[in-house]
Amino acid sequence: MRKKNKINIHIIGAGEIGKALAKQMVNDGCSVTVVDTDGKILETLSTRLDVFTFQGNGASYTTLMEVNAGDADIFIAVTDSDELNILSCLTAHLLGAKHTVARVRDVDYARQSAFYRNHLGLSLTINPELAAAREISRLLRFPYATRVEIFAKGRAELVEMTLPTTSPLCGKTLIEITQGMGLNLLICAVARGEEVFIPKGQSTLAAGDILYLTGAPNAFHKAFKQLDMPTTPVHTALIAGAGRVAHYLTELLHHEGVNVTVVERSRDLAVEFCRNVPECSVMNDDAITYFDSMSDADITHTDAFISLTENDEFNMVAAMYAKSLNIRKVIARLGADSKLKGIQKGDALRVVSHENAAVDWIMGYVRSLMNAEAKDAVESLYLLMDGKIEFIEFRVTEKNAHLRKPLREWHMRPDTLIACIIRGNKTIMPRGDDVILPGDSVLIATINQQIIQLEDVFESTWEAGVRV
Amino acid sequence: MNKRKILSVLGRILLTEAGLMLPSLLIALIYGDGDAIYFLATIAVTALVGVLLTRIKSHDAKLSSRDGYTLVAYSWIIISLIGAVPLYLTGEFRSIFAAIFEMVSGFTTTGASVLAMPENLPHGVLFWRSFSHWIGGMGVLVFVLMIIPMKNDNSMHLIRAEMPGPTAGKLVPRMKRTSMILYGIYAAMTFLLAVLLLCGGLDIFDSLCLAFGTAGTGGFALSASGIAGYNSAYVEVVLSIFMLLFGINFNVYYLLLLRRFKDALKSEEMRVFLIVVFLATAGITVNIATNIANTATSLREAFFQVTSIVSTTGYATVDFNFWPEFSKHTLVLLMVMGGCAGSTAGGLKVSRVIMLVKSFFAEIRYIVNPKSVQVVRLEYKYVDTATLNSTRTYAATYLLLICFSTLFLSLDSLNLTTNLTAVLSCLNNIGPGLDLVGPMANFGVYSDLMLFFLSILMLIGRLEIFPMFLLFSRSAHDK
Repeated sequence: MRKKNKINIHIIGAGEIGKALAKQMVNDGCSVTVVDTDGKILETLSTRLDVFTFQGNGASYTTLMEVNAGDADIFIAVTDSDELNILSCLTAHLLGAKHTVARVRDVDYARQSAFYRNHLGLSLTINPELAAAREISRLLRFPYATRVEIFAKGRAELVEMTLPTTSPLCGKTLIEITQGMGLNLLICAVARGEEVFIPKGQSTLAAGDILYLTGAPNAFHKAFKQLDMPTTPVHTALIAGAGRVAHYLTELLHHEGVNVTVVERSRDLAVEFCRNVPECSVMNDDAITYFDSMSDADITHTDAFISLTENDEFNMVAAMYAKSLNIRKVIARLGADSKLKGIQKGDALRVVSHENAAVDWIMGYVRSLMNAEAKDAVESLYLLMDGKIEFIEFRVTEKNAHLRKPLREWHMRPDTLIACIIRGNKTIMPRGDDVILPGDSVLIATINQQIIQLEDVFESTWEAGVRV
Repeated sequence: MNKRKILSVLGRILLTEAGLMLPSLLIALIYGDGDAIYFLATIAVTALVGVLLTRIKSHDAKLSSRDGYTLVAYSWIIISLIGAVPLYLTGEFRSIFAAIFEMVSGFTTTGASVLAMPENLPHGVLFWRSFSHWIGGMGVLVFVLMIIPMKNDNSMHLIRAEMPGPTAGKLVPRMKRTSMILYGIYAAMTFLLAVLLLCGGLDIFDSLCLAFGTAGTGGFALSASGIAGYNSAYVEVVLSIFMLLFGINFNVYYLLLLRRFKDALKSEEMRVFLIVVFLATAGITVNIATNIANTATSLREAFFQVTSIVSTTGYATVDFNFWPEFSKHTLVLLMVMGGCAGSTAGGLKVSRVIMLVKSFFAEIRYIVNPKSVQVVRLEYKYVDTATLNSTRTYAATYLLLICFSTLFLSLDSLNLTTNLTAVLSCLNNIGPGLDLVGPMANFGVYSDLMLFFLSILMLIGRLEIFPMFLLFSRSAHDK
């Protein structure tokens, strides 16, 4: 971190995730070493970023000795091979690396992350496909949301949504909204075009704004109903592509009581999927052809279409086709750096990338590790709008100087906001009289990016505090 | 085909059989009915031939899958033929075919008899008859593999051919140890049953013979009156429960031994089996209640007959020939289903029935939506296409066998009910049928030719069709 000694980070595998991670961490001021077998990728990487690169097998003892993996504060293995990731993390752990993170995405291994953590010394196993599947399942629950994150183990949610022109919120100030409509949600941040700001009481909302709302999960349903935004739950979903994301997603959706149909072009994959995932029906067909073979009634009864094939172009076309058939909720998976996002008109489709999901996940973890020595532990961290807004979840400890002091007496930075306080099972929408207690989780929204501990939220006493 | 190796394994099997006859010899000596000499002669000759055969050295120790199947088929034929010798020597049987039928019925755990009065047999032979159930229930080769070290480990072929059920697996890495565990569970349960029967007031000889008959799901009665002759509700209930237990996959008991109770209770096959038993018992209880004043009695009788038939044991407490039609039809259906795979029971096996029913529904779904992919699941795992195909083929062959065997039996001019249930009874290794081969009647009504044919049918049923047919194919005997 900027304020402390340089944190030493080793990344094995310079794929999409590895590169994105390296970039973020260099920006955060860490010293980064990247190991990969492909010399060309490393060469481009070292010209673009201020990192040390090393060509070699990341799981081999010699390589790890040579790059001094034992000195790593955080050792991250994100190659394509699960086994290699686990082995190199194991080796690094034994060499003395403080924290090890492995990408493990095989369905068979994914169920054992607790074992890896407890017995193999892996600090974290991340599963990009599972992360993407979770993201999609959350998106399906909120038809208007473009992104949903959960905090404090699901007791609070953060929803990103675009304000439609028809919304009664357009043209209103925040004071009017909170007082007039009695919404139990907090508008934490607004993105208008390129500009991102934390709204104040007098700020007006306009159509097309991207809003970030926090609140208890059940509050959203009520609020959306009030705002004339239908929250019809998804009953039947159609998934194209029988890959790993589809596997996790099917299980998640089945758990929520959704009927899932998976369409897969390859017969072998379809049979394999059908064998491994008993909770859905599997069709052996091309997604677009399958749409044509569906009756009108079947299409009307399909609430959601999620295109998860390996092919970005196909996903985009299938998703647009599904949208043209008036399927309510359409989600397409794209690669992290795919520019295809831009070809859609409006925001009819949602786009999910499992690489991005993984990068966010790891960054959240890494940031919380970096701040482990801070007084209040960072539980998780989310970067939104390409990193312009940060949401940080802190756990309040006894050491906090502002314990039991009403929020109205706090002096906070202008670009910061307390979005949510979670106490036990209760989600508190912060008002002036609220206080924080040890053990609470506090969600902070900031566009400042200098917050590494809860104390950073506060300005020097002569500066004016800002509360919405 | 590795003839030398097969002969030497057959030699070992002969030696084993000679050894297995020793308890019967002992019983014969204790009771002094004069049958000890029959056993002595048989044992001597068998052991001699066995020793000679084991002398054959084979250059190649490998047994192919084909060799395994033929070996199993030959072993079963040979042990039945040899086992029939003491029976024939008693002179109670009208021909050698009748004696062979009786012995095949013993080893295949059918329990169908040609004798009207089994109590006329000397005790040693009676014991041998019941003991053959116990050996045949778990499998002769499983036993041989347990006691005789086989240097070469292609023994899985043998087990596959002998174990009842669509697939055979090991419990532990070593085949020998697997056999020992299976026989250990089997012996312990048999012992427990014998003790319980002793407590019911039966003498040691009857307890042991009934326990053997129940454990192997065989069902030879020791007298013409069958289980009804003991006139004890206790004995009936104990036998019912144990017949049910021996109809359940032995893997379940192994899991129980390992204290994996959850996994054991999760067994889909066992659940379906128990549900079927419950429904059949309930149905029959209601159906026969009109004829019987006491509901408890009708429940007990229904439960006994259902467990006896579904586990393919074939003990009888009542002559269900006189039961209402619905009850008789239910019993016939239970005959076809049989017990669980991996138990000592015969029949189609519950797991096959589950697979067939599920593949029927899968087919319906496929017709509704030809693009859909359908998979059949059993025990929470998918069934691979090869197993599914072999199950379907098995079921089809089974049906054809029933049809043509019934047709062939009709040459003896008995009625359709008799012939059909005789075929079902033999092919599923049950014992009693209906009408002229009903629980209180016997198979003596058939001619020697038909008895021989039914003997083959019992072997076909016990070895699950394919091994016996392999013997008739020329390719099985090619070099």
